[in-house]
Amino acid sequence: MMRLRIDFQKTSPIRFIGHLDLFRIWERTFRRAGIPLAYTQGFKHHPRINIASALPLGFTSSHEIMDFWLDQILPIKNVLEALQTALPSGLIVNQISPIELSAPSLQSILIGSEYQVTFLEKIPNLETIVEELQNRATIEIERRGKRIDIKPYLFSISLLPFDENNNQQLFLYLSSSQDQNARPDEVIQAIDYDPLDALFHRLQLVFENGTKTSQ
Amino acid sequence: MNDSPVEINNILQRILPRVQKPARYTGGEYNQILKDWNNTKLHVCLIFPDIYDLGMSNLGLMILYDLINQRSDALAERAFSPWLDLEDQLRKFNLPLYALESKHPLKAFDILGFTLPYESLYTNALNILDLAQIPLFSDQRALQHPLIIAGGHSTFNPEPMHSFIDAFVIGEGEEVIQEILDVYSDWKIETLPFENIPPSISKSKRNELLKHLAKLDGVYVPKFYQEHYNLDNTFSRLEPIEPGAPETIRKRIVGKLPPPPTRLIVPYIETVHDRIPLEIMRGCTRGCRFCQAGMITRPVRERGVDEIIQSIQQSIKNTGYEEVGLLSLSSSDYTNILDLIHSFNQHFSLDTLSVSLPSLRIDSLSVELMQSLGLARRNGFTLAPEAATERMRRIINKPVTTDQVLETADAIYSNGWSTIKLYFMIGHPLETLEDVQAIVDLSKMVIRIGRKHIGNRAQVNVGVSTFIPKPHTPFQWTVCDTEEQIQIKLSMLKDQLRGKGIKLTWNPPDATFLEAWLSRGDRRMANVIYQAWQLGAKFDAWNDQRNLSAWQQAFEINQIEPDFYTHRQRAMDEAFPWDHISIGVRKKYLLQDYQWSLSGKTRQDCRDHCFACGILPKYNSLRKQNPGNAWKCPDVISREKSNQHDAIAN
Ligand code: SF4
Repeated sequence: MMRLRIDFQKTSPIRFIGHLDLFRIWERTFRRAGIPLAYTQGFKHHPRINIASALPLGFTSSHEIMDFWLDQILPIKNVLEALQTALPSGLIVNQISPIELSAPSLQSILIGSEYQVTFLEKIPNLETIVEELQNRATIEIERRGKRIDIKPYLFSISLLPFDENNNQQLFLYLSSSQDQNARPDEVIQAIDYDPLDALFHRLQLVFENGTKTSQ
Repeated sequence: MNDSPVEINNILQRILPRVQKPARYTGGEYNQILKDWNNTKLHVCLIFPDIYDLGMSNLGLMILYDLINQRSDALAERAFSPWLDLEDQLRKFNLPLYALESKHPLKAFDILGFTLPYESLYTNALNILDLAQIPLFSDQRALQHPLIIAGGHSTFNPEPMHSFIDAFVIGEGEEVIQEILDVYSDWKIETLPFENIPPSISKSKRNELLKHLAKLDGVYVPKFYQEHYNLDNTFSRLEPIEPGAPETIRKRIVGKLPPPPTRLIVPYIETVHDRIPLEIMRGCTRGCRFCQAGMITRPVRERGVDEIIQSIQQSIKNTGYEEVGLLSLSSSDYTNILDLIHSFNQHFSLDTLSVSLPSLRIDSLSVELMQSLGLARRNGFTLAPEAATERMRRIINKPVTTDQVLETADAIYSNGWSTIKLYFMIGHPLETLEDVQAIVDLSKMVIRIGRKHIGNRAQVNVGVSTFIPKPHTPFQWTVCDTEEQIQIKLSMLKDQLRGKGIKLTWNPPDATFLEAWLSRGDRRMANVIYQAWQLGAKFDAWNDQRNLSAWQQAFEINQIEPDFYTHRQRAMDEAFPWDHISIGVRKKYLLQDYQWSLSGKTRQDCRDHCFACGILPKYNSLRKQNPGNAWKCPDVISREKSNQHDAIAN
């Protein structure tokens, strides 16, 4: 048995794929590549794939992290090369590295996510809005019918330079741990901006011990 | 104008976050073929007029996509019906419907090819033309518009769609599509440029193209024909009004099934049949009298076991799929079915590749087949007796005995399945309420067998559809049940088929009638379709979208009585609006079969005994070119050979 960690990008058109579909896409990619994934035991066999954090439909990302298990030991170089020939458009592999079989699960060590938000419609006084948000005691949003305060999950917010189309951009660092988390679109909703008029891009995931995926 | 792929793509990026399942509309899937538009001469867009999730499982579309893209001078892209949410957005932004691959608008293509496997797609086809900003009526289109062609099972009666489609492709498309592209290509070179041409010349040049197409075997250009009716409004005849337009259009078939496509597009999202489709055989020799597919796909042609296994291996490599569907109208009839299953088990591990084998006969062999394939038992086992009494089954020519049904059910439950799906039809000719009651009784007998083996875990799912007298079948002379009859029969079933372990599903009568009107209609139906679409009918195949009142209104506006098509017993000598389409099987043969049915006379599988249905004389030379076992019709012996035989005998 071998456990590998893959760092990949999710871009168009695969940004329009939901989390569940992504599992199936990876499974088929591995099969095309001829890389034998290990399967879970039980009634219905599932390939052993573990994605650190679900990326909401529509989001792009520079660094998503996923662990997968193989039944046999293969040189990483071969795995990488085989995968490269089988990837669907929109998935790009940055890196593959070996991981101790006994290493903790990705979810259990995930702390937060850094996002870049691009506003496709102009927001007057974005600077003041951001400042105001930073100073608020609570940021109440609605999630599945319940009101919750996401202020404790907003680790950091700041303005970014305009993008090449002169759109305003924002940097957000949000908690992504299993039961304390916020999504960037929730923050954007809190400033009364329609998230459908924004582009969301995950820059990286931050894990315990401070490792960032881009490092 | 939002007409360039770049502009379309830009607007799409804003629209897609606003719709459900946006991956339906992005293209870019694995194995999609995107060719250089400007360096490719012929641009074809293949269209399935329902949503992506359904259309991507259409094998015909995939076959043509593969074949056209193999040509160096042509490209094929895809388009499907947008769901309501995207349609709203397209209309709001005045964005023309585009093809998934290059995002070119459909109106920029040379040819749009609709696949119309069933009639309830017709209004969607119109809606697609409208969303593509292309005139709906054939006679309103000119040089700058794409050629609109259509094929698929429902076009074996093309008349209801004759106003909208420039040319129909009758039968199997694999060869004739190449001929159509060749004709188009030559015409295009002669005719270019398409711009700045006065309207009259533009139309006549387009007419030239249609004239060339009408000469191709299997191509029907409706504008070259004039229909005539009798005084009582019944159809009289269709008259060719253009020199060279043939009196009858013989369906195209291929002598040998071409290699199946193995580089299938792998959708990002789940589709209805999310698997490798592998056609093991085409056609059916059983001769069920209600079954249009069985009649129009004759003769039976099979693929070899080795070819099938190799294609599956290749497809898995190319797609990564974990399931394969071995497709045919009647899997158990595939000559080497045991060899195939044996070979399948040798080459593949069922842990990583599952297989589905639909349309099995009602016998214990089927249970053995399913067992040796280790088929997922949780999916249940499907049996389709189609009628519940032996009398009725003789009438429809599906002569299994009730004992066979029960013995097979016994074998299924005792071998680990807990669910049996039973398919029946109501409304067969000569059906009585006793025959309907028998559906209840038989289903209950089956569940009792199940309980005997596995107690309360036993489940029977009964699916009931309503018979439609389809064109080109022995039952084309007969009638549909009235709504009242259907309701009485359905309520008998609903009242009695309930309770633990039994589930009943049925087709709503409005779906049945719509399909019946559209499949049996003549040219006068075209305006009804147009009007119904204008009144908002679309997605007619969807029970929650079908708008029957739009259809009723459309009939009224056109002063057409829908019952005229569906509830009128036809005289034996009545001309049908689809008589100019030849399926190879003679009308006389169908009529004889109808008469046999009325006297309860069955016709055995024609694999064992050729009944000279007409296929062999129609496709004599094709059979000669492809002798031997691949066809299930007898070999035709050429004259010289039979003379030799005689000589030897002498
Ligand atoms: S020609 Fe004979 S064997 Fe062939 S389909 Fe017709 S009846 Fe069957």
